Amino acid sequence: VIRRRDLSNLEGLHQFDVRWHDGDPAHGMLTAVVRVKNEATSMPWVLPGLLRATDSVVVADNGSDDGTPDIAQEVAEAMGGRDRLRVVRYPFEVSRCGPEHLATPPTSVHSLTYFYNWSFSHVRTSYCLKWDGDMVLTEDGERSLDHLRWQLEGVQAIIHIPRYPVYVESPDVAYVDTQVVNREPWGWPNEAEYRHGKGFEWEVPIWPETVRSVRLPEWTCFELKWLDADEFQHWSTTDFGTNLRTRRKAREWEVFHALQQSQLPAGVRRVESPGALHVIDRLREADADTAIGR
Amino acid sequence: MDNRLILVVGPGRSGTSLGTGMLEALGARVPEPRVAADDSNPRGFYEPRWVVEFHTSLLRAVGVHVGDAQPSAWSRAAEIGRDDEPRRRLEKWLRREFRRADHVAVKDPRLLWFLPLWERAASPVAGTRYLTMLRHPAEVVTSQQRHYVRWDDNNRVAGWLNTMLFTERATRGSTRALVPYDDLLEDPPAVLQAVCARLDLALVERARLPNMQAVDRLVDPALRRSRATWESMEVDRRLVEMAEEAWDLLTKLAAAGAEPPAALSADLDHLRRSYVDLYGFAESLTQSTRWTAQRSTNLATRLANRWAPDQPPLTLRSALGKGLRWMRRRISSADRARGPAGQQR
Repeated sequence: VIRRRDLSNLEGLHQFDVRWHDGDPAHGMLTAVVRVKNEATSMPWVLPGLLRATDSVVVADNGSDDGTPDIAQEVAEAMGGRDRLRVVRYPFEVSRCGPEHLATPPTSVHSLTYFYNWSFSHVRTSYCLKWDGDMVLTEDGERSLDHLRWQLEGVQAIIHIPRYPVYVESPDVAYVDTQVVNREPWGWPNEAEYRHGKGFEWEVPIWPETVRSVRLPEWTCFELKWLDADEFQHWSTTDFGTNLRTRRKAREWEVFHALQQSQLPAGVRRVESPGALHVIDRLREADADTAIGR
Repeated sequence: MDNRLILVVGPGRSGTSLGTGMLEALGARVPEPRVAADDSNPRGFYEPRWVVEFHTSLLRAVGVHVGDAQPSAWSRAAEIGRDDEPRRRLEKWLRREFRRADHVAVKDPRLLWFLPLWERAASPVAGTRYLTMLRHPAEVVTSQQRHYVRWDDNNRVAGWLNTMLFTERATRGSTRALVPYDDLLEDPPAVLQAVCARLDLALVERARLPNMQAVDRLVDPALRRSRATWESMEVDRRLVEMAEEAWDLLTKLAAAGAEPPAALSADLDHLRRSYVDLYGFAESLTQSTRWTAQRSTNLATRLANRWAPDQPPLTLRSALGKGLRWMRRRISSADRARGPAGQQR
C-alpha cells in the first residue's frame, strides 16, 4: 500500500504538519474543502448547496476579519447541517497568486501549496472536492454532485466541473460571462498519489498519470464577483501576462472593469431579477439555456 | 530564430537527467531513441542513443575519457571538433530534430567535450543555450563511484574540476544558466521560471496543467537523501580545497545572473590555471611510472616478435592496436552483460 508522505514545514511548526488520512467509506463519499478569507458575503449562497450535496464540508479559514467562520456556522446551523461542517483555522499569511506565490518555497506555511495540502488533510471521506469561497452550486449542480456520491463508488476519477464567472451588480442585476468557461479539475480520490504541488502562479493538483475523468454538466456552478468589492486582492500582480494559464484571469480583469464603467463586453449576458428573488437565487434555479444560452 | 537548442552540460551524476527531464516535462523535445533506464537512473538518462554513439566515437578517436582529468584533453577534443565531417553529420541530425519541435534539449555527459562543434553545427538551425547543473563535488563523485566504473577518488575529483572549470570557460559569454541541483529539487517552478527567462525559452509560457504535473512527478523525495561529504572518501587535501573553491565560485556565478562581476571570472580563470599547474606537477611526479609503462610496452613488443617469428614484425603501433582491440572486446562483452551500450562511464 502506497501512503502519502506526511509533510512538515520549513518553519518547523509541527502542529501544522500535514498528516494525511486516506479515504474511508465509513465517513461518506464526498467532502468539500472551502478555503476562505473574508467571504462572509458569499457564504449564505455557497454553503447550503454544498452541505446538501456532499457528506461534509471543511471550511479552512485563513485569517478572515469579516466574521466568515461565524457566518459559516450560522448558515449551517440554520439549515440543520451544523454536524456536517467543520471549521479549521490556518493562521499564517499566505502568498498571493502570481509572483509572490512563485517566490515562496512550497514547503513553507506561507505557501498556497502547503495551505492546500494542510486543508485537504482534514478530509476523511473517499473523495475530496476543492471549492472556492465564492463558488455557488446551481440546483442542477446540486443534483449532479448528490448523484456522484453513489456513482463514484469503486471508481477512481478526476471530477471536472465547468464554472462561469457571474458579476453581481445588485440584488436585482448580475452579468454572466459566457465566453470564458473554466473546466478545472475540482475533485479527486482522497488517496495516496493525490495531493497538491506548486505551479507557476498557483497550486496544482497532482494525480496518477492514468486516471479517467468525469465531467459534470455545463451549468453546475458559477463564481461570484461582487462589482463593489476588490475581487483581485488575492493576486500579487494585475499584470497577468500572455500565457495560456492566466488568460482567464486577464479576461476577468477586463470584464470586471468594463462592467464597473457600465460597458457590456461581448459574450457577457445581463440577468435581471426584479422581484423579491435575489439574482443569485434566480441563477441557481436557471437551466443552462436560460443562464448561458446553450 | 525561434528554434532553441538547449544543451544540458555537466558531468554525469550532477543532476543533468533531472534538469533534462524537467525541460521535457515542460514541453521541450528530447530526441528518441534513448539510452534505456537502469537501476542507477530508474527514471531514465534522457540521452539520445545517436548522440551517445556520436560522442563515443569522437572521444575514442582522440583518446579522451568522459570524465578525463587531463587539461590537455580539451585541445585534443577541440581538434576533432573542427573537422567538417562530424559537423555535417551533427547538423543533419539537428535539422531532422527541429522539424519535430522548436525547443530541443540534448543531454549526454560526453557533450561538454564538444561544445564549439555543437554550436557551429546548430548555428544555421537554432540558437544554442546552455544549462549546467551544480551539485556538490563530494556528492557527484560519491554517486559516480557507486554507479560507474570505479576510478581512484582523487582522479574522479580531478575529473570534476577539469570538466566543470573548462565547461564554465567554454560557455562564458554564451546564453547560459547554472542551476543548483538542490534548488531544482526544492522548488522546481521557481527555478524553471528563472531558467526559461534567462535562456529565453517559451516553455513556461506554454505550460499547461499536465506539464506542471509532469514536472512535479519528477521530484522524488529520495533524490534529496544522497548527502555525501569528503570524509567518506580518500581525497588529497589540495584537491578538496580546489573543489571547494570551485564549488563556491560556481555557486556565486549561478546567483550572479546574466552579467557576473569580472572579478568572479578572474577568480575562475585563476583557479583553472592552478588546476592545470597541479595536474602538471602530478604528471611530473609520475614520470618514472610512465617511463616504466613505456618500457613494458616496448618489452612486450620485442617478446611478441620473438615468440611469433613467422608473423609480420610487431611494431609499437600495431601492438597498441592489438591491445586496444582486446580492450574493446572486453568492454563490449562487459557492456553486453551490463545492458544497453553507452552506460559505462
